[in-house]
Amino acid sequence: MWDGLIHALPGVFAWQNVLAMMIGVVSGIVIGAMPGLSATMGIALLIPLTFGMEPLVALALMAGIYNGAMYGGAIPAILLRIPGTPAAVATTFDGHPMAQRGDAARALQISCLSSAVGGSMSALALMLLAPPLVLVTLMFGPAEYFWVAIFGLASVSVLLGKDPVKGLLAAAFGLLLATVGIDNVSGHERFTFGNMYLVGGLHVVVVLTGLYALPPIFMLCEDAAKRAGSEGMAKLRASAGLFHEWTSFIVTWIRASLIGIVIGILPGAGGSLAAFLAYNEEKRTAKNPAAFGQGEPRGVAAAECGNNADNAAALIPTLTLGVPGSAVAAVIMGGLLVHGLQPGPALFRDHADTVYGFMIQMLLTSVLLVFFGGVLASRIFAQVLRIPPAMLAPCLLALCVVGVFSVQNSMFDVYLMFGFGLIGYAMDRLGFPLAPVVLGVVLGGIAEMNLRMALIIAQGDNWLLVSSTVSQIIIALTLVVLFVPLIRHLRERRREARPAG
Amino acid sequence: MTLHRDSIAALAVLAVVGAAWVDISRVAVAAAMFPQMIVAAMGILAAIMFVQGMRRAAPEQPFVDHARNLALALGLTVAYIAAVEPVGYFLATLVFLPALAYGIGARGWAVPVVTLGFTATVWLVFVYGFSRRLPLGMLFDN
Repeated sequence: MWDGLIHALPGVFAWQNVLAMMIGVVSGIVIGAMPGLSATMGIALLIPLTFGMEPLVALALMAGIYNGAMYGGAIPAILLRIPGTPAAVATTFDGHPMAQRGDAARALQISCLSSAVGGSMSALALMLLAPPLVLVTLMFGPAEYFWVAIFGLASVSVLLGKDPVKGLLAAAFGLLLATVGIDNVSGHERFTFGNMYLVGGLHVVVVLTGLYALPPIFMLCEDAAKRAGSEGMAKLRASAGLFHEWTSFIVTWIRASLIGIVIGILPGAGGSLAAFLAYNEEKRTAKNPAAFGQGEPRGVAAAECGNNADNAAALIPTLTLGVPGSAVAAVIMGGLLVHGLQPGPALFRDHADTVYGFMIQMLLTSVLLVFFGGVLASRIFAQVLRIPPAMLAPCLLALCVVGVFSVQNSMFDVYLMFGFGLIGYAMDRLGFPLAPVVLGVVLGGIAEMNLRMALIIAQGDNWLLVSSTVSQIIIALTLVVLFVPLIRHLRERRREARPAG
Repeated sequence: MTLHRDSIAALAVLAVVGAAWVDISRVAVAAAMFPQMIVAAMGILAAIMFVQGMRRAAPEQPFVDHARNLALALGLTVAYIAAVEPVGYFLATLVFLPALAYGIGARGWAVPVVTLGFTATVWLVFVYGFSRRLPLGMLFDN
């Protein structure tokens, strides 16, 4: 592991990669600061643009956007009480009251430093846990990989959305999309409807941009009628440096980081859950819980640290098992595949410099937040809140068009992207989670290939699919994940049926 | 009786399931196995969603927040995509950006400045920086 990290260092510190990390962090903060835009959308928008770049440069941009956007969401959360990203909701509880009493600059400093600490701890956890975990996957054969893919899909589908049926339906839709094109084993065309553009299958970037990037842009166009500029923004006054009092946050940071890391590793749980849990735990253990919600600095520190501690940790199951821990991780996995990087042991063996380099980039981009997220920088980034959505949305649409076109120089891809944008918009409005669709597209090929390989190895004895202990453990975990909502539902019904009092 | 939007969506999914089943049935057994498993699962899930929708009360939130703006955005985007090849990416973008921005409420000097700035940046990054060949249109493409 240490060898891998040391070997990757020269590549990480090449000037192109350092520049890419800086650009990524700055772009991420801008994206996160814009209400309606998220890290997921930013990376989805970026992936087509990284074609032709060295993988490490592309990953540096993704790492920067990821960490930057997760902090950037705090800027409008504190200044306007509008969370820039869903994960920044918990930051509004104490961040905005602080801003209202004239402490906006201090709240931003606390959230910036807490984000940097949480992100760094998370990156260290990724470096320490991913390499040993990937060794476990060496015990996996095709049957085990098939079940891992099913487990990943089931957990993201059931845990990410509010309705498990819609989540599973979304995942199945993604799997179906993955089967479009020529079957690699038999050479038969599936769902191509005689269209030669579909023979090669659906490009993951086209599906990803359509489903993730377009719906929020359409909603931004709708919002443009209601929201114009930054009325009611809290003033940013100079504040004494935070660095002399940082020791008072150490316990908060350790607690919130641990919560964020554990939540990040669990498939399906996201940054917003980590932020809420870290905030609640901080409030629960505080000497004066009543101060929370009134502008308590520890509330801001816990929420932001927990939120960013989830970032790199969500990549642990992504890089080792190919099972993303969050929606952003699912999109990053799409980005890895686009650059020919298949998660699993082969990634650590054949592309060690890239994967270890990416881990270091996750750490460095977290540290860069301290330099790019200070008060002066936040003052500048807060100006993006003045960009009217009516001007921003058309630019983002034009960027999606040029990005997707340049993937394969195909206008057909652009039409497909628009079609997926409409489907994504409808699914979002109907309450379907979109991450399972993308995960289905990404994992569909892997699941089918491993299932068919396992069946060929079994030579008609299908019992072999479930005969190994590893397979049985994964199947048991999948069943637990699938039945958790049912048990919860039954428990709620029993509680409701009980007479009051 | 009005159907809940979840039930309507479930019916749409069932229609897709039916079409996919017919299409995949023409393919050889081995290649069709996995898609058929997925289509069958989608059918069962859509049926459950239909029944769940029947039990749910009508949603309070409208499906679309601002129909005029959404229709304008969708319509202009389709026209823009259709125009990219014959007219060229840059010319189409120079018309699309101010048209949509103005249509959904942007006013003032920012509209032409951002339009020109954005188009120039795309040229600089994609054409000059990454040597990508974007559609130039019938007028300029020889």
